[in-house]
Amino acid sequence: MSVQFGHVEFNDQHTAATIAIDKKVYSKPAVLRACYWFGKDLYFHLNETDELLTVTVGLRVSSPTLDQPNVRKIDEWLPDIYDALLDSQLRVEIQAETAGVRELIIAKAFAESGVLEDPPPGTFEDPVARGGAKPGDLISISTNKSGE
Amino acid sequence: MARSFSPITDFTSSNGSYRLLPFRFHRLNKQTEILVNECGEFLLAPRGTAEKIVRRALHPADDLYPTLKAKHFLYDDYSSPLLDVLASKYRTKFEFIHGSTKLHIFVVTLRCDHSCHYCQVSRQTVNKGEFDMPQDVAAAAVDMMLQSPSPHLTLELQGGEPLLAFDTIKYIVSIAKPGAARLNKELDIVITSNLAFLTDDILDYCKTERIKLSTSLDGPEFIHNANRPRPEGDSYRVAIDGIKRARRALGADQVAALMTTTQLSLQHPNEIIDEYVRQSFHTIFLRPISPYGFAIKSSHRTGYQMDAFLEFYRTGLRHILVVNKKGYNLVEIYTKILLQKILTPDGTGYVDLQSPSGAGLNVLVYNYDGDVYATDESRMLAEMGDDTFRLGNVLTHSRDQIFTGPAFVSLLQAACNQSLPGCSDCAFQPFCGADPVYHHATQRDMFGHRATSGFCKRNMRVIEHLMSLLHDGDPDVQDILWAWVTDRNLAEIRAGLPQ
Repeated sequence: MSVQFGHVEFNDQHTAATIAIDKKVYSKPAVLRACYWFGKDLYFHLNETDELLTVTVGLRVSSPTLDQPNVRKIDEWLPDIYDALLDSQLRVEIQAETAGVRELIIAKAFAESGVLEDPPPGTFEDPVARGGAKPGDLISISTNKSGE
Repeated sequence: MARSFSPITDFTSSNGSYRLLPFRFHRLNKQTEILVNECGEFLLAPRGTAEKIVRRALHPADDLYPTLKAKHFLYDDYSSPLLDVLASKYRTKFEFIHGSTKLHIFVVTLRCDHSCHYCQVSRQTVNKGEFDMPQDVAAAAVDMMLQSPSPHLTLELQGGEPLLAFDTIKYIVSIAKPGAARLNKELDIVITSNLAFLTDDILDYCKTERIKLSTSLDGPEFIHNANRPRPEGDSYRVAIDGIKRARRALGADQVAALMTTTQLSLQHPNEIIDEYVRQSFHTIFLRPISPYGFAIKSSHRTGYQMDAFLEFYRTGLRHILVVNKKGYNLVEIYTKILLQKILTPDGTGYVDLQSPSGAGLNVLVYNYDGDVYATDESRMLAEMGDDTFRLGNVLTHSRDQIFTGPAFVSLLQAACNQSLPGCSDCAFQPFCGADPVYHHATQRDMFGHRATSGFCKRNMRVIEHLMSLLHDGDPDVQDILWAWVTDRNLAEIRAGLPQ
């Protein structure tokens, strides 16, 4: 018999939990990135429906061993997992908002090395040059024509 | 005509809106988080600041707002783009790529008289001359080294014990120096030796040819002798005697020492540091043992967890700071390298903390048999039967073939932390590196799994520790760290002397 608290359901032994995550709040990339950092101690399984991501998380080691005499219960991991979810979602949002500028900075940084086929298009306000240029132009890299 | 500044309102966003520039963040503790922009400029701020910025909860009147603007975390309708400035800063961080390979390590022999537990070469007994580098291999390796575009090359002659093949060293130097001069390249030469075979003739030669010496000093006698057994049981006495003679002949600044950390060392950080002070060294490198070569075979003697090393590092650094406060200038090299990356616009020449990884790009290793490896650790792996990072051979491959071959290309794919899982999100990415060789050796995966990576754990914890010192450290500690970064001593910092 399992126990359910709100959107979290535990197995009998409290070695695994299933968390229902609203996709409007956390994106799949954010959830995956958050899970990644717990891979040493926990395993994860994700299911996706139209509205929810269902994450099953379990302890890799559930009983004390000589190598790992202290084992945290699955409940004790949840605050860390929620913190990581928040952080990952923020990171995803920052990256989404700043990806164009970041590519432009890098393209400009290395433009003088001669590896860019053309000077990077776009401006700070329009880093991907939506006004006409092909999006791929920004990071179009080719062999240096001078052969140096 | 009178001139005046524009009113303050001209410098703030008219409607309170702003846009983000790329940055990453990391929670340092319950009170503080670290924000790092794309160029490695950082800010220690109250926890929750990143969320506040992203959720547009920051107001132009907030104290933090102008700092975030000045440090390129956000911009508003008043800010000038400064995109070229950011690009320039970004390029400066990657200056180390320019010129390609600078460090060229020649393994002139596998022979050695020491039998160190953790020895990273498949050492051979002293009389096995077939493990010396033949002249045709040496000539081809020098030729390949000189083809490197870098105007400044470092030739490191190591072994085994390289002084057992002194004729080979003399031959290599005799062709490398005029070759470099012909191409108008600067050439530094270093011999890495245990100094057991250091004669006065060799010292005269080093003085004439302006060759530096680098040796090993693992700590006081009981640690050094235990780590580096010789049949006579006197490796410490031999090393100290060699260091003193070399300093007399070449000058103190021409002789350097490195330590290797073993299980025994972990229990004695302060004793090791005190030994370096006793021997008048002004640098020490608290480095963990490499997980390669014989170090894996002898793991029952040298194996230890990264947690134990981190405790060793923190205790050691604390003691080093005390030593500095007392007036003796002693720099911990790993700390200095990281602080240079954190506090200055520059990158680093230290291969392990480079992205793209310095393996091959900044260092090449020429084995005695002509095989070329991406790093010395790659060669150690090959001695254990894993030649993943063997890039070619100087007798059969050109430099172009080395750098376009499948071994180097596959290494390069995992060489940028900007695109590695875990690293791509990490606030410490600009300060850290990618180490495909380490991750291949420890996880059988060049890309690596950051959550279980010793490399990641070490750098994450060390950078957190340094950030804490920068944030909360007493003024003396901060002065000492700044002195290390700027190559000055504490007295000069306190006197406000320029760099």
